[in-house]
Amino acid sequence: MITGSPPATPAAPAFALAVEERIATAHGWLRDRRQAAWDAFSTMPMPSSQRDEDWRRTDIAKLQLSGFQPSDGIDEPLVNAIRQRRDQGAADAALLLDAAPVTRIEQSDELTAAGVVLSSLDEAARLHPELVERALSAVGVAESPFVALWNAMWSGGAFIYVPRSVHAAVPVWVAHSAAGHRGAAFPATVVLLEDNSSLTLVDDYLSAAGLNEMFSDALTIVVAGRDARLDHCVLQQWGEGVWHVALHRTVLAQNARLRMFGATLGSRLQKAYWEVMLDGPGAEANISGVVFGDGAQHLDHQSLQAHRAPQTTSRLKLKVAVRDHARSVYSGLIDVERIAQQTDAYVQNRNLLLSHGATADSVPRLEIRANDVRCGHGATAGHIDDDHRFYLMARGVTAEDADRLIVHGFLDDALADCPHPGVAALIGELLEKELEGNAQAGIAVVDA
Amino acid sequence: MTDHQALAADLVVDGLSVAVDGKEILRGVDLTVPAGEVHALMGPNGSGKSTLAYTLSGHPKYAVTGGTATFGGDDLLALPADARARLGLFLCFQYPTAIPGVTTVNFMRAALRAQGKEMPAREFIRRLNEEMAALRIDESFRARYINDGFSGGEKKRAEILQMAMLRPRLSILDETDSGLDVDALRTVANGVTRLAGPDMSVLVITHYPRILEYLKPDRVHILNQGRVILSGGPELATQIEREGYEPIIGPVAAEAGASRTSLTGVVAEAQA
Amino acid sequence: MTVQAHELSKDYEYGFHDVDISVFRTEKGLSPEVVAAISDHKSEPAWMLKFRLKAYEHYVKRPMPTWGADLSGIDFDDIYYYVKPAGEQSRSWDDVPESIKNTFDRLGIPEAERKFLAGVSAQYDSEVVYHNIREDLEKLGVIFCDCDTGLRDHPEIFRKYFGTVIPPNDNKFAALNSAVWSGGSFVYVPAGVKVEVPLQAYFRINSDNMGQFERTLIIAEEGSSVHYIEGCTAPNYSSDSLHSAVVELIAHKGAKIRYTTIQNWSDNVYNLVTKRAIAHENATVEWVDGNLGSKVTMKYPAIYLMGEGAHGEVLSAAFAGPGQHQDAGAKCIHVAAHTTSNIVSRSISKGTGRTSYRGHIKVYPKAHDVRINVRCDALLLDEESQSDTYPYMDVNSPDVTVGHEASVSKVGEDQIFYLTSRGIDEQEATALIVNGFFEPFVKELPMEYAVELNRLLALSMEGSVG
Repeated sequence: MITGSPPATPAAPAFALAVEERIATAHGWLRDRRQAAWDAFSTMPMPSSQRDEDWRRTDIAKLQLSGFQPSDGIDEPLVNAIRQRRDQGAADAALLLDAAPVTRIEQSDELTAAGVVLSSLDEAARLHPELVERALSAVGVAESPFVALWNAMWSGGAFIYVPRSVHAAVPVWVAHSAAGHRGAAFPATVVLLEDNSSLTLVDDYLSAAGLNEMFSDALTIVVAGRDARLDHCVLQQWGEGVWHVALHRTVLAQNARLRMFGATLGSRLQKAYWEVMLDGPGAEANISGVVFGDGAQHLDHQSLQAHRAPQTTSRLKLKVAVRDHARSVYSGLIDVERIAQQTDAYVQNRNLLLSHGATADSVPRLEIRANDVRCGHGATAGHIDDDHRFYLMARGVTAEDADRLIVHGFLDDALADCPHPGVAALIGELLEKELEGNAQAGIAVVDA
Repeated sequence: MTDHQALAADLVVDGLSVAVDGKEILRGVDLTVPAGEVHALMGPNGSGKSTLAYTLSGHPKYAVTGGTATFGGDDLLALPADARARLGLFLCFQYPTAIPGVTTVNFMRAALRAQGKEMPAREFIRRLNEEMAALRIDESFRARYINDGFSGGEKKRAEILQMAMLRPRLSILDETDSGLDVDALRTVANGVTRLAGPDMSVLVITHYPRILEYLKPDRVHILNQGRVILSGGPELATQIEREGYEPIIGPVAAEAGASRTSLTGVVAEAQA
Repeated sequence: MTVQAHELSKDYEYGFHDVDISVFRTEKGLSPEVVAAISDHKSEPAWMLKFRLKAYEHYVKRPMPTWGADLSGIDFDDIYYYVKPAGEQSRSWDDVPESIKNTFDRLGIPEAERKFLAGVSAQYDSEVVYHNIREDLEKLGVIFCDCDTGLRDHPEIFRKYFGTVIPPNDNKFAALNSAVWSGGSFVYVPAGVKVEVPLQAYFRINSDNMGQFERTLIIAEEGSSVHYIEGCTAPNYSSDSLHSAVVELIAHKGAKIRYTTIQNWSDNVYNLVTKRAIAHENATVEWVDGNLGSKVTMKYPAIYLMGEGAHGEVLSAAFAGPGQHQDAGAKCIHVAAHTTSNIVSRSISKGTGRTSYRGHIKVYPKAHDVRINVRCDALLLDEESQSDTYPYMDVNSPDVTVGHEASVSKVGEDQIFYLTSRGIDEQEATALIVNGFFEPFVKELPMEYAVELNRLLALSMEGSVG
């Protein structure tokens, strides 16, 4: 028995009001779900680096939710900056701009004509409640305080449904943004892929550069049917005042395939779960990511490769460069259930430390309960090799340029896994700016 | 237990069909290697040569779908790999498997013991040293882990060393010549010829005729698309060296049946 | 006796036990009175009694660990915390009580001592019944005795180091040991002295429902070296026993300590051990840690690399048969610059056995030019077998090279085929591969132990195939 259990999270009064309204306007299962989530959240303590293994290396004691209120949309210059960014990465992509309370949808005709449903999650919950319910059931109502809060609070959001055997011809770019001092966002991407369908999806989290303190509690749920294919890019470029907590969960049925690429550049502190559930035989997931941290950023990634069916394959590669006093935390688990024979799973986490004061923690775990498996992991941490630097300098390159080249080369290896070439090029450019050392977290917004 | 003084015995393969992962590779192979003879099995890449070697040795991945194979009258196909080895069968692997942590010495002693050919430690070491010297294998190999970190040539010589120590009654050499330079090839071939004879028959599987200059086969068989399509004397190997497989098996795309007709003419011509 | 010994397990040959010839035992369970009774029985100085009672308080206060193996089966109230066998400690086997001497004869200890050891200590339940060291080493100033004797006869060295590497409040089981410790080894090697042949301690539990809490302290002065080996066995009882040791090593400048463990407790023993070393400038510490026995083991030998140029090695091998959980691993904490460490772990799970590797690598900000290598491999022999890997790496200095690789697999089909194609049957082929898998560990053992370990493995592997 734990005596003196920790106090429940002090709920933001503004959240309570918002939840009350959302519960009042919701119906049926959604109303129950929001209520249950809020009730659970009200009794749950915030994660603690003393008590919770998941949060041992990421301290959010300074996050005081009581001071936040739900973000109320974004201004037009930021909207334009987001459009420009979409144009740069995938100009043909349909755009879903999730900036609660309103979700704007642009350039979606081609996909809707093919039968793809693109809407706000709000609208989807009204028009296609059974589809939304099916997708949301992949995440528990109160798996964690942040999931509970999200379940109670989300509004706006993005919903994508790809019918059976439909192959979405252009990508869907879901941009999640927020603004305002102490604004809180609950970004939502909910995707249902029916059997044998395919989709390229970009989840882009961004706000204007600057010190504005904000809170983002994000959830992406993808449920993929048999033989479905998803290419998923996740860009995180929140401004440097943003606390970002996110759960990305993909559930794969038989022979479904995920290619996921994440680029983590922004926020003051991030805790992101990248999870894939390999539920059907033959399912396959390839996950890669690049992380660049500088200043005092704290970037935490926690991965889960859950092998729950035979002959499933997963790969995860996370490459991390940290500078200044930035800290990277990576922890991951390959979890192989007894039934999941012939699993083939591997994790690698490579860390490059660029300054004194920068730190990288790595905890790649394996829990294997089937015997006919090939599982492994590799983790390294190191600095720029003097021989490499010398080699480049001997060719006339300055030390600074040499280091930049080397870091670029180190991250490029993962960037090559990005499934969308335009997005890869965009991320490459963003990394270049980071490496030059004068990039602020968040995106530059030019007033029109 | 098998008497290790036993003479070689007949290998008789009759209508052998084999599938790997559901795909049929051998489609009715007929082949006889009489006791004490040296036979060569040749054929282009993908004709099923290694499949036959693995199947005769009892690799569990190769599923026999038809036919028989006997050695000295014993039904090989009914036996697991170790029992076949105890009958006197030896497969010289094309890609010998590394077993980290298990030294060559310990492995050889375990294998000899398993085959009922155990000998006193002193005699074992004396014989091992002799055979290693004959094969120009460095003494340090005794304590090295089997095939672990060996070069291609070292692995092949180590295979022949095992053959020399175990004294099998039938050796199947699976592409033993691949990846060997001329000197290594000669050493390895000499190692085999030293043992071949009334005590040991040999089935040499090869893509290239060169090793046959040393091993002097009594008969040469050509395997194509899972069947032995032609058997002849050593001159068959010479012909392949000169002209390649195409005159015999026809253009790559040709059906096995079609090539059989065409090659009869070619061979008649060559023999004329 | 309330508990009957059940029939000996087939593949554990040390499961026999002697009749109870103890002359003193504390009552079952633990209290300040029991702690005081142990101290009183040993006529200890006041500071040690105080140390024990303080540790007892820590023990009571600390919660049970919530991670690692399942410890819910331990009934702390049903354990004898101190059991003193008959007879006084002796330097001659002839003076050891007959039944105890027979036990150690069956375990081969006196024979090994004659053949290749520089000194032997034999603990039976709570007390060391025999210890001896070669006279030439004694003349060089080498001390090798049990910790109680160390406290009594060498108080100044003992007190200077005791409890400094692992303080009583380090963890619950270190606290428990600190409260009720008895026996173990005290080794002191003067500067420059190299003890070329190993010293060995052997730990035997005989009583049922027994807790053995030996305490070991090894100090290697500047430029000295020593190799210490410990082995252990216990009878099979149907009730559980607890073994909870604390081992502290101090390697001074340029010194080298190797500590080899062959843990072969019977499968009714909970083995919860804290082992930690401090390596000063240019010192080397090596833990060679083999875990074959016990019901549950939780043990993570640690090295704190405190001085520049220090080097640490942990070589760990674990075998978990049906019902066993080996939660073992290593910790290397790099505090100083130019330090290196190397960890190699091999584990095998058979039947429902479960092996876990739990490791911690930490590099402090000021530790530059640090190199660390970790390699963990696990083999799973059966469908019910389980393996976990929990490596923690905290790197707080940029000037480091850290590599960690791990793999989990079953015995390779191609390897089995290769060996069977030479006439070896599948069971022996598997045993050969398993032995080969442990080879990096076995080759670090003195020959006699290597042979013994391979034999034990072969026994454990019997009947493992079809």
